[in-house]
Amino acid sequence: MTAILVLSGVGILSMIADALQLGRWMRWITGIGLVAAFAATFCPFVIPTTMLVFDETSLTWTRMLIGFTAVLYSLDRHSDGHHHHDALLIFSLIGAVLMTAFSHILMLFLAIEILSIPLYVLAGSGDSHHSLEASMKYFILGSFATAILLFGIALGYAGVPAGALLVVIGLCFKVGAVPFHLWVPDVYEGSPVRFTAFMSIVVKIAAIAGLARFLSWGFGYRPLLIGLAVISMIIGALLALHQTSIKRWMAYSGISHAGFMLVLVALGEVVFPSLLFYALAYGMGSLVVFGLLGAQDQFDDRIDSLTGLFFRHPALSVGLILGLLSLAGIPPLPGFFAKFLVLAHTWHLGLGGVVGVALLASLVSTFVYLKFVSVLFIRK
Amino acid sequence: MALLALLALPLIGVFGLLIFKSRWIAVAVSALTVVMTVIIGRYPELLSFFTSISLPSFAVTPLGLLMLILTSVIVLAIVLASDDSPGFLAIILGIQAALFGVFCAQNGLLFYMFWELTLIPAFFMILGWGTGDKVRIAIRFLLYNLVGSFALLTVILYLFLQTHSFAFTDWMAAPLPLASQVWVLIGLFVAFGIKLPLVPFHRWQPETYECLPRSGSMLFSGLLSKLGVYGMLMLMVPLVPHALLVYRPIVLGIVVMSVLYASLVALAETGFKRIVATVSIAHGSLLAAGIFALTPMGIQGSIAQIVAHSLVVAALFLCEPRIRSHFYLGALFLVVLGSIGLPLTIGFIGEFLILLGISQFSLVYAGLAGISVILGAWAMLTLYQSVQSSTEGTYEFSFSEDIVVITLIAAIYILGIFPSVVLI
Repeated sequence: MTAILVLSGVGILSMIADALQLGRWMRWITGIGLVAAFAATFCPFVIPTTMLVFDETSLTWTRMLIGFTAVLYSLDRHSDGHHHHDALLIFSLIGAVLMTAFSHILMLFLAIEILSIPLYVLAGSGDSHHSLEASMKYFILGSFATAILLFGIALGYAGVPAGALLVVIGLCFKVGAVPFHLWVPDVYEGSPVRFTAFMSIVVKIAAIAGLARFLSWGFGYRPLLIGLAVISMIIGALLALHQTSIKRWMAYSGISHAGFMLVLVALGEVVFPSLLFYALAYGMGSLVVFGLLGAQDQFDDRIDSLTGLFFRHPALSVGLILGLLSLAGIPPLPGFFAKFLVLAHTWHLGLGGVVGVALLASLVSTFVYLKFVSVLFIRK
Repeated sequence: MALLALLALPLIGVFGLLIFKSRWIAVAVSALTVVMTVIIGRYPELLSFFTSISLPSFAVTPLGLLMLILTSVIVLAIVLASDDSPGFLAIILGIQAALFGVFCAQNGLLFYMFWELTLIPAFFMILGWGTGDKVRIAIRFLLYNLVGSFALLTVILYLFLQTHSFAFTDWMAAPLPLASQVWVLIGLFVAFGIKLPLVPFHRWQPETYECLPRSGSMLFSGLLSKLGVYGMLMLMVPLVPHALLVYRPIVLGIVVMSVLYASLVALAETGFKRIVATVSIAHGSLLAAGIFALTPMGIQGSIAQIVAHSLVVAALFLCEPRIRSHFYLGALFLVVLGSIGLPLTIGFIGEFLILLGISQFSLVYAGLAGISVILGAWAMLTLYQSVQSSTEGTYEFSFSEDIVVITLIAAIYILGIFPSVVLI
């Protein structure tokens, strides 16, 4: 609760600062604000409300989301001159935090809107027309998903059982699970890299957290979710094989990881710690990859542009490789244990077929990541 | 304590190499590991010294000790004979650290982690220092080995869910029904068969050896392929004895066919490295045949052949074509004799015991394996003849290479005369 208050304050403050043209203080305001919001999650102060619940679960998610945003923000060197983006980023983060903590279905709707609307602007904040195109696509498909969500809420309110199903589908849009993933690569590709990173890490994790919370109200869509998860893993891994754009490649890799997380979501609250761990491992891996790639002076979206990077920037490459290997699930990096937990839980519950598909998918995606790594070693 | 130091030593070497960039660090570290492994072998009570900082999931079994000593000796030979860059040597020491981990792990998860850790530096070695179409070769190497790793991971996951433990002792104690033993057998056979490699899984091997620089080929053929045999002896035989016994004709049949096929292919191959690589598939498959005959003699022969093959194949890759001199041709001749298993060499002890072990189960299989041994010998002698009459090669042995070749040849012959050291 306090974290949301702090974040709102910071967002408003940075808007005012932007209006007063205090550009050089903006980084400090936002940076310190994010750290303060992280610290505020440890403060027990709560305003009584029936719309939000701040239990251990939502606090853990909140810390993770704010932490990732803070690190992402600190790694970002290209924000000079576009300070109003900071406020939008913060507002979007507030939406993400609300998504982990709603206890009322309308709050879920509000959270998604608060999360999405700033992102539509941010996606279009790049210089090229690709960015505008991405923004437009994101807006249209996002509105579509919201409409489905709202329709589901209305049906649920009217007592139609299928309402919850539509809510789940609306959330799966945000997660980027197959077959609701079509917007993901296009939007990621068009957006500026730092917002791509924000979308693929914070938004995805928030959507997963929201979905888990919604399902914890007692809706059993396990077969459906496991079906979506399985398709996402495989399709994401396979489509990543032949990408030439880094952002599209990360989009498909994220879709595959979303599949793994959806399995854990479907298995219910017993495996909740594993879901947290998976999200943490995925977030850290993507953070390293996006952070290091975004930290280059000139971000070039072509995978070919990384050819021979190892010989030009050995230290950066080693960090990048560690991040990629963790995402690939190579022991002893965290990504391995995350995937191992998914497999162990699934098998333990007797879903042998899912284990088989998950193994196959992680085989393909390991290959995909290592193929990416091999590019760094090609001498020009 | 001693074990912890042993596991950490190559890693320290890696960091030392990356910081100081002097190959003498690699020489010193690998010499130190040889000394340490030999001391641990001689005085095993050192392992329980300072038990308060011992590692619970690591232990040294007799087979593990043999592999440790072999690993450190081969790595020392590679490092001494190489004139490669510090980065390359760091990768070699990194692989050595991972190998030490595999050979000491008594826990499935650790075993798998170190198993995977051998793969990543190996992949980078091909990418960074390979020749020719190295990216394609590296990716094929990786694909094959990842399939093996995932087969292994599946088996480990299954055993974990059955026993709720990763410890090898718990796995061995768990009674598995025959039906699930068969699945475990298939999974492990694929995992270890790809590493060795056995014939249906061997496509990655010749081109990888050909693409690597000399030191890399020595490491891959001498040590990394032995991971497969080690896994068979350490996990397969104790875990699924019943299934192995029931399906022995099939498993042994596949492996013997693999020996025969590789020996025949070796006759048709051209190029020094490719022939050595293909003969190496045949020898590796013969090792597996000794194990899957499930006779004490066959298994003893396999263990002797592990040592024999590692020493011989390392020496063979060291003797790649050079300017012909009496020393070079003599050394190559002695190594080739060791490779074809002439009496007085350790190769003879291994092959003889393996063939004897197979014949205790089936004379037909022993006959087929015997024919393959002869075919392999034919391929090696043809190879020697072609090297002798060719004018390939542009450089001579350096002094340190002289020493390494002489030592390896001496080891091959001395162990052949006193084989009791390796017959554990």
